[in-house]
Parts: sequence; C-alpha cells; structure tokens
Amino acid sequence: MSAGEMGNPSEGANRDHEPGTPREDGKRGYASMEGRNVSRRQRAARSPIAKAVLSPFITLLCLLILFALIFFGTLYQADHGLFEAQKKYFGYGFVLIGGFFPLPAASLVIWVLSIQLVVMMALHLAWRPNRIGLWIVHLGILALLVGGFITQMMAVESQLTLAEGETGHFTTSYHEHELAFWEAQGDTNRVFSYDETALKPGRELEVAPYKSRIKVRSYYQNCDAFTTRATNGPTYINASGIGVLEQRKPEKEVTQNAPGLMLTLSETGKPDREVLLYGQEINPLILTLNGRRVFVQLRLKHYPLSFALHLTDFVKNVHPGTDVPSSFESYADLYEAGGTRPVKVWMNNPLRHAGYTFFQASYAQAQGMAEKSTFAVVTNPGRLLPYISSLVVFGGLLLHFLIKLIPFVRRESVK
Amino acid sequence: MLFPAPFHVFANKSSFYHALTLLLGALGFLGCDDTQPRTYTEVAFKPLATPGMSGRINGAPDGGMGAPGGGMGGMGGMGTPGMNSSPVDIKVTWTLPETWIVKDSANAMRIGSFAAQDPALAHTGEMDPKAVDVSVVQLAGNAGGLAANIQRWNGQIGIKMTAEEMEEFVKAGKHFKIASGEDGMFVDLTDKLSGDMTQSKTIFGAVVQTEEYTVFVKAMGEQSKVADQKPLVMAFCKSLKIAGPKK
Repeated sequence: MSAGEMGNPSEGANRDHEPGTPREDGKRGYASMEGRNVSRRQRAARSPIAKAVLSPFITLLCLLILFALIFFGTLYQADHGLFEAQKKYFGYGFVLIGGFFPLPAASLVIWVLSIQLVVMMALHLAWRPNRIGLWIVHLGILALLVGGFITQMMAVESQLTLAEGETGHFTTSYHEHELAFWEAQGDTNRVFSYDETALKPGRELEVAPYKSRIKVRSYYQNCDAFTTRATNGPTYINASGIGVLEQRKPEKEVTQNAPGLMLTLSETGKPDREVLLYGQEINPLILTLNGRRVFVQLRLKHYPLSFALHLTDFVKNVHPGTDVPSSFESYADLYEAGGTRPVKVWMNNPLRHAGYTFFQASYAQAQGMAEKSTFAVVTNPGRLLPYISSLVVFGGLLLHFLIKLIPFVRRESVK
Repeated sequence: MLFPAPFHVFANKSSFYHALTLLLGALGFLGCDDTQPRTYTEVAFKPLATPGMSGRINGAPDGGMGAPGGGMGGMGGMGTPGMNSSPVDIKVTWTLPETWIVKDSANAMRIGSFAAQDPALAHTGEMDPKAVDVSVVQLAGNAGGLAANIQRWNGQIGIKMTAEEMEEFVKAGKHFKIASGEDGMFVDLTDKLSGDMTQSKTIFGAVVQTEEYTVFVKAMGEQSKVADQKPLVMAFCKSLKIAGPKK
C-alpha cells in the first residue's frame, strides 16, 4: 500500500485510482470526470468527508504517532513493565508523552489507518482486471488488520499447572482477577463472577443467583493486608481475619499485584454486611445468601475447559554427561466426551485441541515431590489470519508484478 | 487561513464534524466497559492422595506456590472449598533475638512478623526506619515446592534464575537442624544479585519442610542491613521448635 494509494487523489499522481486521475495541467479537479456523468462512487470520492478521511497528512501523522508510541512505550516499559506499557501506549485511550503532550494510543491510530484503507478501497481503487493484484494486496492487508483486532478482542492467554497425577479442568489468568460466587454441587461448582473491570468504587452489581446485590466500596489493584482492625469505619467479614487493606503502587510485574476489594453485601430483609476480600487469600469466604451456602473469593480469573487434561508424566532430559537440560516433555491423557487419548507436549510442539493451544512453558521439581508442568494456554480465533493474510498479500503482489511484467516483456520484444 | 494546506478539507466545517463524530463514535463503541457477569460450571479439583501433596494452593504459578512473605500470584488454584493448603495444625515457637521488635500489623499469611532493628538503635527506643522485615509463614504440605517458593522470593527482589540455575541453587543449599530436630535449609539470595543491583533489597531466609508442612522464615531488607542481621536470623531459624501436626 503506497502513500499514493492511501492518499487523497488530489494530492499527486495516482493512476491506479478510478476517479482520482489528476489533471495533467496540475489544476484542481478530475479530468476524467469533467463533462460527463459521474457515478455514485465517484461522487462519494469527491465529497469533503472522503477527502478528509483520506488526507495523506492524516496517514503521515498516524505513522509518526505510531513511531513515537513505540519509542516512548519502550522507554515506559522499562520502568512500568510490559503489561502497563501495552495497556497505556497500545490501547484505546490517550497517553500524555512527557506528562503533558497528548497522543492517541496505538489501537486508536491503527483504527484510523484501517478506516482510511477501507474508504480508499471503496472509493478509489480501480475496478479493472489489471488491478486485481492490487485488490488482493489490499484485501490481504485488511485481513491482517481484522486478524489483529480479533486477537486483541478475543484472544485469551492463561496457564495451567499440573503435578504428575493431577487433572486440570480449567485454566487461570496470569493477572486478571474475578469476584467469584459459587456453590458446590457434587463434583462441580456453579460459578457466578464479575471481572475486576466491573469492580469500580460506588458501582452496584446484582448477584442474581442469590438474589443479592453488592456495592463496591473500594477496589485496589495492589495492596497489603493487615489483621489489625481499622479504628474508623466498619468491621469487615473476612475468611482470614484481615481487617485493613492498604493500597500500594502497582508492581512493575503485574502478576505480582495483590488486589483487594471492600464491598457492601445487601439481601432483601436482612441487614447489610461489609465484606473484605484479598486476592492472595487461600480460603474463600463462606456466606449464607438467600438461604444457600455460598463461597466468595477474589481470585485469578478461571477459564473452564471443555475437556480435561491429566498429567501422567513430566520428563526433563539432559545432555549426556551434563546437567544441562536438552528437552522438557509432558505426557498427558486428554479426556473428553468422545473418549480418552494420550498426548505429548514439548518445547515448540504444542498441543492444539478444541481451539486451545497448550505450550510447554515451565516446570517445577521439588525435592521428593511429584514434578509439575506448567502450560501456557492460548485461545485465539484469529490466529490463522496473519498467516493467511501474508500469503494473500504475497499472492497479490506476485500477480500484480506478473500483470505489469507481461506487457513490459511484449513491448520490449517488439522493440 | 484557519487550516494549513494538508487540512484544507477541514475548512468545510460539516466534513470536519462528520469525521469527528465518526471518530468519537468508534471510540465510544470500543471504550465500553464490560460489566456483564459470567456464569460457568467448573469441575471441583480433587487433591492427590500422595503423601505430602497438599493439593493446590489458590493463585500459584508452578503448581501452587506458597506464600512466603505473603505473596501468591499467577496460576490460579484449583482449590475448592475446604480443600487447600490452609495452615496445618502445628505450633511453631522460637527464641526472639533481643533487638528484634514484634510488629503489630502482620500480613494475614504470617504467624510471626518482626522488625530486625539495627542493634545500635535497639536500646535507644528509636525505631530503625531501615529495619529488616522478618516473617514466619507456615503452610500445609510442600506449599507448592521449594524451587517455586524461592523463585517467588527471587521475583520480589528482581533476580531471574532459570530452572537449571534453581536446581543448582537448591542442590547447593546449606542445611541445618532446628531446635525440634527437623531439617531446614538456608536460602541466601544476596550472591544471586547481579553487579548492578547494589541498591536492591535482598532476602536471607530458611525453609523447613516435612511431608505435612512447610515453614518459611524470610528476612528482607537492604543488603548491608540483611548482612548485619544474618547471624541473628540464622540463630532465630535454629531456635524454631515445631510441635505437631496432630494426628
């Protein structure tokens, strides 16, 4: 995609674009459209909005902003960690460079570029057989952007750690927490949860299964917990005897944050209860809600699997005569409705099943204890789109090259 | 002219406002906060019957790290109600060095929390602002494993150790006996700080591990302060007496 292709047809030569052929005398206007009927597409291309959207200045500005974001985001990452840098510099908000100069974050900028691409294709890219290669190239780029959007919005990264002999039925987030309510129903837990993004101070949320409501008093992304009682304020119900939370600056590594939540729990016809939950508590709080025994916990977000993985063996091989590991291998049984099958996961050879990809990520060996294997688990509906779009772009470029090459060769042979 | 040449199209106010509306609309759409609850069913975790396996501690990478110093993060536990590594029924006692002060505010995970004061200040009644923080934590079973817990301590002071280095580190650990006879291992992370980490905090501690429980002692503070306190921390660790667990 050249600047000319993206740009306003009034700005420089662009012979690939249908209504955009500029007058050769350099004056404003479109020679091809003068003196004859213009199509709706051509009229739309001439509209002030289309010209505004396709301004090459905006394209250039977006690229410069992306450059600045990558530069300053990299610097920011050094002090604040990868997660915070991604969230701030590559999300949808605005970021203050140097504390005073506002710039839109990268996702927003990429949206603007995407809109430019689509509008340009819709209004300016010529519908001619000899432009089919360019169409394919642009569609490939569009697929790449769509893939990036799908990944950003829908991909989930989590992890699963199993000791030999253990069976995993769900994975957990690396750093995102949830407020979970559940009842034990035989071998299963029926969970009702709110993501931490919903836990904003002052917000009231329904806990529908138990006919209750919560009102968030405070939510700390990172805090310390103390067993002392606050001299002022309410006495909180807590499973571990915690009485006070003190907010701390979020850690550089977001996985080290310990969140805390204080909320008021309301049930019709009963006095309100003040509840305190700390993200590092081992035991859930047990409450009676609507006459039922309910467990409540602020915990890392769970993602249930549609199957179960039973770790049978973890093997660490070493290079002969040394203690240097040569490979890590996890042997597991995969249980699902259709039956059971053995699977093997090792470095660079993930298990792909039911939309999940399990990568061998880590292991732990404690003295005299069962070995443990940690899998990084990824679900990404758009994971194939970058590969597909790259192939499409390559194919489009090749086709366009051939379309241009053949007439060139003919002309040369005539000479 | 209000708009420079590249922006001349914005001279038409309506096109400018159209573009702005489009942009803000897209922002509004994308900036929506998800407050919808999730409901799902998950299979309750069943602990292993293997002696010493404590099941999984909620929130632990590498299969359930304990909470030395009160921190757990990463891998969420598969714990279910009433089934996890809550403190076992043991009683841990110790002999406190003279210069240490018992802290009023303890982290929920701690069974002991102390400020190891500079001996020069200890008898003046002044509080040492750079006192080393000493904690004692007890957990059931192996608490997720020795290596995993040391890695967590590493993370708290910025040390990165590969699994192989950790294996070497654990192998080279110095062992000792506590007062009640159990085996313990000292963990000194100061040597693992890289040369450019002279301003970093360090950790010196010990782990006492049996099949039924794990007790962690952790002293964390400035390197010079921890070095000063090291003999006292070692004496404190050796003075530990563990009674139980009740059968």
